[in-house]
Amino acid sequence: MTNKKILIVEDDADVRLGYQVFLKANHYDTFFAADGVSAMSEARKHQPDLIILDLGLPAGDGFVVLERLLALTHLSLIPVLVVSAREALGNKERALKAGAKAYLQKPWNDHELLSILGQLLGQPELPVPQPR
Amino acid sequence: MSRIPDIGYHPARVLIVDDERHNRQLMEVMLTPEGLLLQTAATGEEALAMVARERPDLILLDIMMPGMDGYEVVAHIKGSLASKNIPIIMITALGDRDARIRGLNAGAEDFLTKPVDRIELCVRVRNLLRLKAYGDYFDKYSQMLEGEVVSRTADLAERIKQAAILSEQAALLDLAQDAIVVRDMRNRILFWSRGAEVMYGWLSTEAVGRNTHELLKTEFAEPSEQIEVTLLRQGQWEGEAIHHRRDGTRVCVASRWALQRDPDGAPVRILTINSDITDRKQAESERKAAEEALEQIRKDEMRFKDEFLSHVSHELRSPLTAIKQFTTILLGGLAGELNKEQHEYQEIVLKNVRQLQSMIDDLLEVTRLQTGKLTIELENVSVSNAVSDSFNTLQETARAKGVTLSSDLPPGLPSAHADQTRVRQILIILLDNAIKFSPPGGAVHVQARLLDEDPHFLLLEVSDNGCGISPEIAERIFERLFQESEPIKASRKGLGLGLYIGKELVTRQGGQIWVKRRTEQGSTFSFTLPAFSVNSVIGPLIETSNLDESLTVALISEVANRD
Repeated sequence: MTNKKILIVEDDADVRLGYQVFLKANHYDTFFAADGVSAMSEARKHQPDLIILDLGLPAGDGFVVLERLLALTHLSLIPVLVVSAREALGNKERALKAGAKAYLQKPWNDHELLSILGQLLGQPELPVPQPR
Repeated sequence: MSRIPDIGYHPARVLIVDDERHNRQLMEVMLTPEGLLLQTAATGEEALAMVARERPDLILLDIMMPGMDGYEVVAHIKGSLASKNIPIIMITALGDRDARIRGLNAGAEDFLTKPVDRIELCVRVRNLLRLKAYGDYFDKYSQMLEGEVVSRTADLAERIKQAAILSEQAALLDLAQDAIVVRDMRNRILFWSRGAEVMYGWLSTEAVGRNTHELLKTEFAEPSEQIEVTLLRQGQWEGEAIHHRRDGTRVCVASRWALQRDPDGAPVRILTINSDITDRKQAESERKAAEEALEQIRKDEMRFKDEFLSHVSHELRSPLTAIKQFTTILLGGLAGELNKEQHEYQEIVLKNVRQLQSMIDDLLEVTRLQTGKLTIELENVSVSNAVSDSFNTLQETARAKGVTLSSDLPPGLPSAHADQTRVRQILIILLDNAIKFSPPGGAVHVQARLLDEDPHFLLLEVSDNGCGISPEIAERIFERLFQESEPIKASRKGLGLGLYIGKELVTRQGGQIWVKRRTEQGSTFSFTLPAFSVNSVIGPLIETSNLDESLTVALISEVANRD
């Protein structure tokens, strides 16, 4: 069985490396984009199974990227997990309304991240918390 | 205005007084052709009575009479103011000089001697009647003149008085700083006070006669037709207007108008008083501008605060994310196995990251409370679910400290009418606090029941067996930034915002929160929340609108179906 592909859109290089190490150890293949523009091209190029999208991006707000991704038919089926260090209030609702499948507040707990990934990628080997 | 007194024409009245009847008759016969009104009297007494009654124009008086003689009669007549102007012709015996002189001295005007000559009698009567007529005429005229003088004098006195009052009033009007202007119905200025001169720069001599609106270039806030209608209907108008001074500068005035009508009710004059409110207006608009500026600053400040905190939270959380990620990686052995010591140290890093994280969360929560961004959505909240959710969240923390969590929730406990997230948040704050204050191996217990004093409320209690809280501290523990200053409890960390947030959340859901020291050991934090009942949902509806019973029943069944 091949690993699921995850595109991570994140402008902080340290956090990108953290994702890479952690997700690789948990058997995910990772691709990266540091801004909104490359997020679109990387998504087209790799056709990931899931996109982790940070809201605070240079060259285009995360919401703009989310909107564009969902507007393209061939990309609109890819589940998007929106992640943000910003205030959850308002942003979470807005992201879910715009079509994101889940929202995660930074900094997250590792088991939270893994359970959401498992849930969205259909590998429910980890206990799934009750979504609120 | 003098007029010729109208005496009119009436036949002269002549009284003939003689004790002898044929003498009277003779005289009557002789005077008949003169066209006079003749009357006779036989005695002095009768004569006086007739004089008093008839006011004759002439008296022919016989001197020698029995009883009251002629002299006495003359004296009486001439001695009375009412009759003294009636001319008397005495009739005396021929050659009786003494009698004539005595009669004339007594006041008689003329005399005739017996036997009386007809021609002489008629001439003398005519002459005296003419004189009497003149005398009457002048009397009346002078009376009239006198009356006129009196009335004119009184009139003049009244006018002088009025003039004095007017000048006093004018002086008062001039004392007023307001512009007092009287104008006619065609807006021509009739009176222009000193105040008006000062306010507008036009002298009274220049202003009087001019059209007030043209002179002042009046601008009204409302259509002038409307003002006229108000003035005619109500007799007065009050409002603001803009006038222009002689130098062209603008004056804002508060203007009051009163309509004056003539005795027939026709409008004749408009009295106006204009107060200069330019400064007040200026101050008002400056104050408004200042208030707006202040409001803008407040808004900017609020927005800045929001943006700042959102920014800060982002900036603090981003590095925290990386720290947490790599701590997790290290602890997970993803970068090689850690020895026991290294593992322990990484756990300490992780624990501190979590503390930092919760402090940031608290900071943001307080900001939300203060900027009014915290929303409470009331719903049907299961207390047991909220308790088990919060236990799940804190299970790890409790286990790390060896603290056991337990609860005692009676079956059939009503739900709370509250915000589910917020109830859980309150419980987490109180549980976290209780765990923090519990000694290792301690126990934290949660209880819930209906409030004894008011069954419309649920009572939730979180007890610990820690060191307890002194009464002084118990009062201040819910204050913002409260932290016990005693350094004994080194394990306690944080911004001291937790209980403040907890109290705010409880209060905003309609409950109360307090703490007391338990008798045995430790402390109990208690809070109340409105119990969910049909009344708690439709109660306010019934209070605000008078719903009839059937509608209430319908609402109750609707609410019941919702559960």
